[in-house]
Amino acid sequence: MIEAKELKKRFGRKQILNGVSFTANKGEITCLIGINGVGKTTILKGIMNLTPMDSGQILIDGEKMSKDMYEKITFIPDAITMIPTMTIAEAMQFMQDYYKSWNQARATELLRFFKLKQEEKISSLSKGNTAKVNLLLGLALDVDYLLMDEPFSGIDIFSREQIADVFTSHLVEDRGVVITTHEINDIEHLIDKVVLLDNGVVLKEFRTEEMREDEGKSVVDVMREVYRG
Amino acid sequence: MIRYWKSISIILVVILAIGAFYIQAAFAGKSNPEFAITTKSGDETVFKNISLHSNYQMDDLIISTEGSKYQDELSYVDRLVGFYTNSKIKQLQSDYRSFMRGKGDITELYEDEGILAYAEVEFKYHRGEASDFSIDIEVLDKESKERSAFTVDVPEKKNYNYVYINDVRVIDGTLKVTTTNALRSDQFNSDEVHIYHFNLTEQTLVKDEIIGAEQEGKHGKLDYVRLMNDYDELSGEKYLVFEMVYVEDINLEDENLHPDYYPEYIGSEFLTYNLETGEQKRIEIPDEAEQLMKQMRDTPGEIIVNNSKLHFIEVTETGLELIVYNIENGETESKQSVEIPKTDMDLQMNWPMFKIIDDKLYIVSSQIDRETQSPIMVADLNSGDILYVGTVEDRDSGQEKEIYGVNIYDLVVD
Amino acid sequence: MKRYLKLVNFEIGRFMKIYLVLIGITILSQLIGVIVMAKNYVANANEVIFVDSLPLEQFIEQYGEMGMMDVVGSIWFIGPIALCAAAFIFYIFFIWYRDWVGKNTFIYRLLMLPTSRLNILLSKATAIFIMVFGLVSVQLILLPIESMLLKWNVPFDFRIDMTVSEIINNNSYLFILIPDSFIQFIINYGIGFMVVFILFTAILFERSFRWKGALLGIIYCAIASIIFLAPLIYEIGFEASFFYTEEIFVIEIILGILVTAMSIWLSKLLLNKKVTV
Repeated sequence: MIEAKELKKRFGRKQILNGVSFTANKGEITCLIGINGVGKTTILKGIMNLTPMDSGQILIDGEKMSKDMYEKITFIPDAITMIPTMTIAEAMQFMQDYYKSWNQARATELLRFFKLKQEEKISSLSKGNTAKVNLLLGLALDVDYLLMDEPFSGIDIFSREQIADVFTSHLVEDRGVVITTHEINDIEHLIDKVVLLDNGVVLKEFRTEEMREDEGKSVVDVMREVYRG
Repeated sequence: MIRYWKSISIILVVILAIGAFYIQAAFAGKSNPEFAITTKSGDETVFKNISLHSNYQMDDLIISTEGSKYQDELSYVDRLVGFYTNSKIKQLQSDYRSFMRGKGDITELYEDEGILAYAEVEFKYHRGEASDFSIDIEVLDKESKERSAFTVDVPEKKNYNYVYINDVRVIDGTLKVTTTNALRSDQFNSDEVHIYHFNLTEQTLVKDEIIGAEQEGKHGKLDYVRLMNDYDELSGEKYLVFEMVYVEDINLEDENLHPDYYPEYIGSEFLTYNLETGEQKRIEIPDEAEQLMKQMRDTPGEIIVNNSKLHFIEVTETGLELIVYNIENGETESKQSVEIPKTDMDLQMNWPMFKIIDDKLYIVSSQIDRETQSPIMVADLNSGDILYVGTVEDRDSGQEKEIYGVNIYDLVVD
Repeated sequence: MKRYLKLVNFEIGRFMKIYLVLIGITILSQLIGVIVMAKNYVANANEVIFVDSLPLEQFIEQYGEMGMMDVVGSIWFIGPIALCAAAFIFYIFFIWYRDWVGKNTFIYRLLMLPTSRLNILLSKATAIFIMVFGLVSVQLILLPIESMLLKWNVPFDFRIDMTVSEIINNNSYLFILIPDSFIQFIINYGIGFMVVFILFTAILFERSFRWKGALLGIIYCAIASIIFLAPLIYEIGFEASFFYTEEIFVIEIILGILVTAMSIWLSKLLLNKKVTV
């Protein structure tokens, strides 16, 4: 379980996070929803210790973040984090060099699934394919938790479908996934839990299934309620 | 491994190239010739405790009877400390390490059996101008290890542009500091030589006297006053001797004058200062000596104060002219011509160095070439006879013992 | 340790192309320089001796003999060295900022490696050190080759032959790069690497706190310099010479190690706690 407790972060004069708390469980897909600039990415960076929080606490399975945790949790940002002059093969080699949790068999499987050629240079790939490589580099790690920042933004419709397929496959099963998005449509049916953010605080945290069963509301319904009302 | 070949090859090249360079430098070393002072005639002992500060093909070295010590043979730290550091200073620093901190100038030191004394001029430096002069004095009692220090303002300090120390002596609890003070004026001659008397028990300035203040001046203008005593002499002499140099009296404001024109030398006067009595006395040097002085404006020569005597040495075509004048009784003690073999008279071209050690005159050529037969000569001060001849030879080069191009800077007594 | 070495190799690999270009320029410029200068000298000698019929001795008296000291002082020789120096000063900053700028923010990846973040800093520094030493080695290898080239192109009567050590000792900037004593070599490059670590710390200040950090970085550089130069500042500022030379030497070594350690410690702290992507 990832636990975020009372996260606070200020950039200059702007209080981005003002006491954000939520949890994300293993084996579930948790979605952080909010308009752009609400601090979703900052939360993910905070969990990965890529941006220090001003205050608050983040625990992963009860432990604080440390260097060894990067074998247990990974982050897929909205842009690829590899050197563009590398080929896909070199990028995979790099991952294998540094991560014990790198699973080359799964990488090969993903390569096939996404129909990518490993001798291609990252810089020569289309936007959609670059996003797929980015995803591949994260998914091929045998980690317990996956953080994804806007995996669907700016990608063509076919790539989106392919990526969405990944979420229902065994590639994601059993892992804890936290994704951020500002539009819910594509993935509403995939997610188990929703955290609605605005003005630096959590407006509502709920499980989609319970919401549907108990109150008969879809995620979009709840969002409309929360943000408009 | 194969993936790391780029890094590995860079590292290998680095280790090989830099390693080879420094290993080669350490082991091969430079094949420096081993110069040594050897005795050509006479007793070897006179050369035993002298050494020559010299230079051979861009390397600094010290030559003695033991052989040569090159600067690049020194350890790194010794090289930092300095190759030519005065041996007296070195010894004092090792004996009185704490007291000697920051005191490296031998002219500012005085030493006898009982005490070690030091004086230093302090000043403020602002916008290129020094002001607010004072004299710091520190005394170490060698026996009790007691240190005392005090500072006294230079009297009428506002009048001076700078003040520097020529000499420090202590006589009967009075510390006498000889200074040159530059006056804040546009006058032609603007230097004064002062002797400040400090009472060490009361730590006060008791007297400020000016050397040659009441001098009439022979003809012309007083150009400058110069202390003749050896600068690294720490104690021993009874007299300080000052040379007062006179030049022609011309109006420097004269517009017809070439801007670079320097007034012509007229003559010198000597003034002795008795350190014990504080008496200043103008001395009449013999005519011959005066003659030598004039010639020495153009030819090599030197005047040495030693053991209450003034030694006038002039290099001539056949050797040296040597006049010894006794300050105590005002008489010329001896007048000698030192004969030097013709072959060695190229000495004259090389401006030899002179030093008096134990009543003997050491004459050292400032450059030693294969033609130089007798680079070091030791003459008897009374007879003018050359008693000992030393030469510098390359010990290693077996049959061919001649050398070329050794420059001598200084003769040092260890 | 293994990951550190891999990172070093990785950093070297990333700069390899530019590095090889720098080495290439150095080799070409210096070798061409020797040939051009030698040919010019010989042509001039021919002209003066045969056309103006000046005797050989007089020519040498007027124009001097040709030797490596002439080559070493020329723009052919100094130019590429200056270029390499400038490139590496730039690289000290570039090695960090290239990972931050642009879309492909590789710094995410570096900071998320399952290894101590200090290793990232140390590997970047090590890569710089190794490559700087590499350039120095190239120069050391080039010198004898250049001497040989000179021998082939200038007749015996017109040239002064010098050993590599003599060439270096007679040239002030080569002497700084390759001093004759190994201790001095360690001191020179020790100071250089201390400066690299100070600058790295300043860069990380900027990367942690941005504008305010840039200011902090500059202040840090000033503080580090003041600490390292404190004994000299004291001696010059107060016109006092309290310390003996050998004491200053030891104090400076201690202060140098202290400032380097302080920089590394601060960098580690910033990387672990404050750095922001």
